Amino acid sequence: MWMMADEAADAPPSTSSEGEELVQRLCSVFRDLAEGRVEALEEIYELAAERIYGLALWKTGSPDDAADVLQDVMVKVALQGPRLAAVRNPRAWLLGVTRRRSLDLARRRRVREAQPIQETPFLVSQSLDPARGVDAARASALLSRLPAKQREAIYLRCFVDCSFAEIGEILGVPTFTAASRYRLGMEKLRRELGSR
Amino acid sequence: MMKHTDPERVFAGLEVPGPPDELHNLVVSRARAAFLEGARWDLWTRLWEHPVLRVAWAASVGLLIIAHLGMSVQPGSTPTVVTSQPSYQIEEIIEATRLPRLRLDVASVGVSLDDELTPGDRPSVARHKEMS
Repeated sequence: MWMMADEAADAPPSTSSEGEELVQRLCSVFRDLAEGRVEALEEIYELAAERIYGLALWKTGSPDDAADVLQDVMVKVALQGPRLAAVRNPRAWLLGVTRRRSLDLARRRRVREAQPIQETPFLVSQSLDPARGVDAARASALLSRLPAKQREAIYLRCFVDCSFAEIGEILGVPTFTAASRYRLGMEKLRRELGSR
Repeated sequence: MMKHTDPERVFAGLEVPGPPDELHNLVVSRARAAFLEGARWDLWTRLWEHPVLRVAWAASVGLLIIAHLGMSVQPGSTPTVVTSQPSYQIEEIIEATRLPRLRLDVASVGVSLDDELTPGDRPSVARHKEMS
């Protein structure tokens, strides 16, 4: 069974208003970059790097690949230029690009060598409580057993606070499929957690 | 300590690892370099992507098409068909281009070909010498 610190359980979940605020800020810096303000790249990194890296990590299962994907995505953003002004939902756009880059990288990796991802730290704990560290390692091990499609749906729902419609947009699937992947993944995790 | 089987409750206390700190400068500098590299075609891309200019281009092309159609297909008129030129026009052209025949009996300079000369008006050799 899973042991969890009280303060961690009481941590406020991310709200949709926070997500909307992030989207608005990204829209603003996208417009800045589209108008030629190169400094906006720094702001985009500050706002989006964690989510881009997180999705790439959960998709590829490799911190090194996630770093490569983050760099590729930022370069792609820089090369878009004025086209960025036409992006309506920058968060979904960035995460969609991240997913496609991750897929490309994962395909290349598969050709090179099939590497296990059981060791990948999908989740970590900032708590000083060692029990939380153990929980994070176990949760990561469980997540590594999920199909990547279910894992990315869970990440986008639980850690990026995306709606299912937005997840569908990012993953390039209908909303129903996005919700189904999330639900299947969570059911598997629930079964695994209950059996321990 | 609490026991949980709900994944969302488990996730609540944990975080997804962020990118390494050393990645920040590297990624931003490469993105900046890519941006500056891309600035070479930036002007044309701006022109191409500018929404107002796009509308203006579309409007001008539309106007040109409408004007073309309006001029080529006027109401109540049948399109003119170019055929071979009628014979009377050809005769006129031949007449206009035909050189007048030189009249041998008009040898004097300054006498128009159109002047009617009678045999009596023919200049004599003596008059010719006077003129010269």
